[in-house]
Amino acid sequence: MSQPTPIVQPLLLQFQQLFFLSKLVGVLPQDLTKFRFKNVLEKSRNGMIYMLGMLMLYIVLYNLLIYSFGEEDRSLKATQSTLTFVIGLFLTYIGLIMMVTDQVTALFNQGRLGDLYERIRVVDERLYREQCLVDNSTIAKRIRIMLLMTFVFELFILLSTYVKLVDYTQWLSILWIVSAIPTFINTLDKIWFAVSLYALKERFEAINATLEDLVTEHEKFLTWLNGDDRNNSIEEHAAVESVSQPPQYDTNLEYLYKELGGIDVGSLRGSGSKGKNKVAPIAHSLNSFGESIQSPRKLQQSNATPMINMAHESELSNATKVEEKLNNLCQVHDEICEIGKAMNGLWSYPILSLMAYGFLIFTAQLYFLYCATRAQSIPSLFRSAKSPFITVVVLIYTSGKCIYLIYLSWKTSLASKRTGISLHKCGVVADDNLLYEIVNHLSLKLLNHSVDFSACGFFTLDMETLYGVSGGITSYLIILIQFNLAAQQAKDAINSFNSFNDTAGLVGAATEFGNESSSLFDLVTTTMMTPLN
Amino acid sequence: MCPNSWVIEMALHKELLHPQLNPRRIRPVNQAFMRSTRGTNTLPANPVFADIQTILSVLKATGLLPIYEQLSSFELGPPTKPNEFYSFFVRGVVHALTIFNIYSLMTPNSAKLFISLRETDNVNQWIELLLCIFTYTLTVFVCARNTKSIIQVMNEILKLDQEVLRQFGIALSNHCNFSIKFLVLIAACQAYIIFLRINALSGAVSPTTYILIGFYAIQNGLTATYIVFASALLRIVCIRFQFVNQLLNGYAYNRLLGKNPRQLQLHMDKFPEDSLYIYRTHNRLLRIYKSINECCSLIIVCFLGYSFYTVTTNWYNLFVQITSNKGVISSHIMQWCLAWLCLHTSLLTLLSRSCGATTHEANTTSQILARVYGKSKEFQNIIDKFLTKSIKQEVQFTAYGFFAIDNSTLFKVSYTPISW
Amino acid sequence: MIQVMNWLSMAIGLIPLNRQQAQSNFVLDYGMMVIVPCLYLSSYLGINLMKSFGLPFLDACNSVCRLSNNLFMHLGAFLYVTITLLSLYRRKQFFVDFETRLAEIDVVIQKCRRVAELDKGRAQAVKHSVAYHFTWLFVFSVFIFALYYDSKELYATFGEYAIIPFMVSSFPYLAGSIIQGEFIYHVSVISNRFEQINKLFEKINQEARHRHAPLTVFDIESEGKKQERKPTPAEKAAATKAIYSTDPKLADELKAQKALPTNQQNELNTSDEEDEDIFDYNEGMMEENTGTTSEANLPDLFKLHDKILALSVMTNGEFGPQCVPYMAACFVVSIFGIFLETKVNFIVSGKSRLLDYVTYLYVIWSFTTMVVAYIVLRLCCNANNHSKQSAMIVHEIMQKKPAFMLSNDLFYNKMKSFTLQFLHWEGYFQFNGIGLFALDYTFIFSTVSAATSYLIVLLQFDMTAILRNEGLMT
Repeated sequence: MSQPTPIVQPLLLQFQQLFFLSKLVGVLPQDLTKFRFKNVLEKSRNGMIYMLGMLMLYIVLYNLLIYSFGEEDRSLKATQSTLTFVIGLFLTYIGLIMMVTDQVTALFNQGRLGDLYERIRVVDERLYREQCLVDNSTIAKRIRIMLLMTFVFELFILLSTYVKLVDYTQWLSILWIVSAIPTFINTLDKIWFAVSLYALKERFEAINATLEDLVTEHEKFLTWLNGDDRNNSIEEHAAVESVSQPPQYDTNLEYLYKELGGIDVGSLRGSGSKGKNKVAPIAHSLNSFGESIQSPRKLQQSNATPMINMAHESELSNATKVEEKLNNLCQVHDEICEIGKAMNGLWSYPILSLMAYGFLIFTAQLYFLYCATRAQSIPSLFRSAKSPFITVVVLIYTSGKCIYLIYLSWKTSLASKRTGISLHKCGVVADDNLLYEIVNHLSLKLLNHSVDFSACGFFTLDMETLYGVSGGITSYLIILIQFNLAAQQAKDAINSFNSFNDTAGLVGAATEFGNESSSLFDLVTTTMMTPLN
Repeated sequence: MCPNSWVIEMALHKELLHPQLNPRRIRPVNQAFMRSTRGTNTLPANPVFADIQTILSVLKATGLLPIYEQLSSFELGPPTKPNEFYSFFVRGVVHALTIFNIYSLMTPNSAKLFISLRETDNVNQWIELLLCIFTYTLTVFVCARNTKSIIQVMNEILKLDQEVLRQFGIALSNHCNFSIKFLVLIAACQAYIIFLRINALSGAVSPTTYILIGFYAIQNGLTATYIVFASALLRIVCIRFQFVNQLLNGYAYNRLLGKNPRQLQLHMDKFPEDSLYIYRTHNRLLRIYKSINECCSLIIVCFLGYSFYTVTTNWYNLFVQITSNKGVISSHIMQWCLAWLCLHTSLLTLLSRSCGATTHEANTTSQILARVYGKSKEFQNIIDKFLTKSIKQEVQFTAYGFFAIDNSTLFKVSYTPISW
Repeated sequence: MIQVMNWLSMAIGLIPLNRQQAQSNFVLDYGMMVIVPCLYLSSYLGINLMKSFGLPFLDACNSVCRLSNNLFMHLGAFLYVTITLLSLYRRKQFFVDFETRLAEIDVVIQKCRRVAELDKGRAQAVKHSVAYHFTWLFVFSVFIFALYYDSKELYATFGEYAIIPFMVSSFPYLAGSIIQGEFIYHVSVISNRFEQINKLFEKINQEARHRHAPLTVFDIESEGKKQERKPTPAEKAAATKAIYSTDPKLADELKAQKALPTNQQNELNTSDEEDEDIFDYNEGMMEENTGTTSEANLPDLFKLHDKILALSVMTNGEFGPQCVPYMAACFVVSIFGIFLETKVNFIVSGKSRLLDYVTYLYVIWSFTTMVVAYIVLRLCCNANNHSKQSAMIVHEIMQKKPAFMLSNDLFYNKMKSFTLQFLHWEGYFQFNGIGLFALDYTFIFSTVSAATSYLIVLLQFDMTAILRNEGLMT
């Protein structure tokens, strides 16, 4: 079946802009020229070196940033509550860790990523052979929208923070730009994942749509069959059953086909949609010899052109033929599931780090916002929390990334589960013993195909996890705020006591209490401090 | 071993052992499992458990495992009377020591043990010690009770291997070398901890304290060793599952894409026969898996509890050390905590990984089977039956039915200390 | 009762007017749906921007009262805005779709009833039990009480301008509850259809019990056929293979049965299939058997079941997202209701009228929303159980091996297909709030456990100092 010219456009064609951008900032090490000319991702030593260089550069810059902005923190350490300080300390490097995880994983996976897309291409080809068409054009649009959103969010957060909250009279403040790098790179990497996942989901949905189309076409066929005269219907049966035999095609049936025309307009949709589909065919080759690209089975039928429509109509009533198709669809389904698993494997560590990052940053940002509203000092790297509006944008950006991934993986696994239901519909509508057997058999297989996305097996990526995580965030937030309140009360008490101590000291000095007073103060201090601590 | 020598060796081997058997075809798929047994003429004493021989002998010497008899290369017999008595004796000594230990903990003498850490931490230390003692005692008890079933499990594994060898001429290797590494790690950690402890002791040290410390370390070490042994067993089962899966994978559609119909037909003809074997093996493996679970789960639960507790308290200590405003981090406590953490984290990881891997392999079988597409009716029926069976049957290695042990457990565990 | 609710929801602009007619005046339909939210938004913004007509801006309102009132108001705004947006997004296409599909389903059900000869008189009049009426009465009275209390208090405070604070205090919760009521209505319709199907299945099941006799006859016959057919060369290969694999298979089966009592029927059936699928029965036999009895319904019923499930997927897709803010609001209001009641009202009740009012508002609405949420969960759970029950009955039928099944592979395969499809459905669908949580009793458990942990945290919070500051406590 392998032909010199590819039957379908590779998915990667849609990724061009994203690839150039990620190549530029060092998210992916793969070869640029190969991608440009052949649309394949291949290992490249130069790319690796470039990427490592970028990685080093980022790390150095980020450390510089932390160092230069850390000055304020060190002076502030005394005034900060220990809790805030510790949280700041833990979270300083988490962005960097996330970025490094992404890049290192990309380095390790550089060979396998290409294979993944190659497998998707093979799947596309097989799907195309089953006349199941996938529209890739939306993917490019999606990528563009996502890139745009990323830029908007990053720039907004960066600029507004820079303008509002950073002292930009110093030249060192330019370094603040570096603070956006980890999230930006992480987002680029995640766009790859999200879009590929979306592509998988589309493939699942294409399979489902094909099955549903089979059902609707058969339903139409049945209604037509029932609506017609009784005496005709027998003939039609004959016609249907012998549809692949050209000799039967005579004047008697021609009139039937004409009558069929009315329905054909509807059912043509199946074949007509080929035109607008983008994966399919490299455009002109379809128009010139559209049918001939397909499998030989179709070729046989194409010599009697009006019969194709008829074949569409009765595809489900021919059990043996449909068996092959269903078998193939089932295999493709399995293959997509496998690809999903492989993809999940490739990105498992980045996703884990992203989720950890999302959880921690979300909690921390809210906590720092609370601190900022209480006019407490917060770590300088999280200065965006000083303004509620920027905080909201940051939160939307961070949580949007996480939730979108979770939502997509949930939807994908739902789509994969949907296939079984659609398959059964085929069986029910055809109401044929042989077909039932086929369907039952395949359905059992489908039950055993599983695609569930998880982060290293630690937790699955579905909405229930989101529910749990949101609960976790709230409870941690409450705990943190309570700690903060307690610490603040303690500090206030100490401060007031200190001032009281000072005044009392003055009074003591004035009235010359001497040693007794100080010992008294010590006593008071200990008694007051013990319940507080 | 050179990769292509096994073919010849296998042939020889088969002739020697079972000349009556028709040599089966040789699959390229199973490359991974093809490792010649060591030499053809002299079979090793115990080919299957050769990898974990060291750990076995340690456990045997301490009475945790029975000192079984080697009946033939694929069968184990119950221990002889003197050996049984020896195990019994060792266990008795252990229990006596435990009682002595608890007694001395009650006396003020034990205060020496806790001096090393901060004053307020004593309760934690107490609980930790008691947990350790409890875990070890439980291990000894459970092991004593499960003597027979352990031997049975080992026998089953051996029988399975024998069958594999007869049918396919493949001796499964075990890749259990990690057990020795872990043994060394455990010993090193415990020795280091003893060293730290003794180092921290000041003043005159009574011999009772030495005994206490030594016994405490031995308890810890042996419990850990038992966990490693359980992991090794799981790994062995996992490899068997993998073998079954590989065998089945040979029939999956994506392996057969390139072949022409005739070859396909020929290939598929052997499927019913093979599938039978596969189903049977799978069922047996599941049974083995379950019985291992039954044998070990109580110990594992206990160990997990102990381990979580230790990990949490050590993290807490480290945290306190880091955040204390004094700025001086006591290197002694750091080393102490790190040693404990290193030991327990690695053990937890090992356990959850091997459980997770085995569970995964066991559950993959049905998925692979779903990839087999047979043309004719019987094939489909054969496949259907297994798939129907496996729909609702998720295999899991549970900790005494409380929870399944795999990565998600690890996640929850690391999640709880944070919230504390 | 449902009519009343529908009118009410049309009146406050939650569902389009003329929702069941595809063709009608667009402006008329959606007018109310735009006016009411505008009214709400204007009063909400008016209160928050102009700082008048709101409870928090009264002098009598102390800090606790202000905080809780603000929370109530903003929570209500969140609830109302999300719900209204989703309702606007839904349009009436959904209602039209729902009704047409329901009509289709009903037609088929009627047909099946006729075939099954269920007595029509009883079935037609949908008899509601006492509990049904009582529930509706209870819910209505609770709502009326809540609204009455709120409006009375507000009227006492604000006089004729009471409508403005009323719009931001009680109205959002009312709207949310009514939308949930719509959800309840749709789910109850679905659940009702499931019940009817189950009745039909049950009928078949009973008939299968009566007509058990032919089984033995067929077995003998098939045995005979088996003997006949074996020698033919074409079947030889297959037959040998069958022999080859029968014994171990049986052993396997026995094992499996021991291990898995739940799957027993499946296993048994597979073995049946093996015996049978060698033979091809001609179509005539089937007609002879099924001409007059209700098992002819089976394919229709299977299709129906599938359709109703598809309908519930649609309904859930429409109403599920609205469930999430409602449940969240219910959760928060309940927690704060308990908190205020225990920490404030027990201590200082009767000191400040406004504070009492706010506290009671929380308590009343937490109770009301909880009732509605419970009914939602209950009905969703019921619908789920009913759909599950169908599969159970089919399994039962398969176990009984009625004549029509043994005589014909088609029926057997159909039923197997149905049960398998149900397995797929089980994995695919359950009533849920956009996947975040399943709408059944487990949700109650999870919320209660979450609520306790929050309450523990909240109840530790020391209110006495604040209350003392406000002069409510000495």
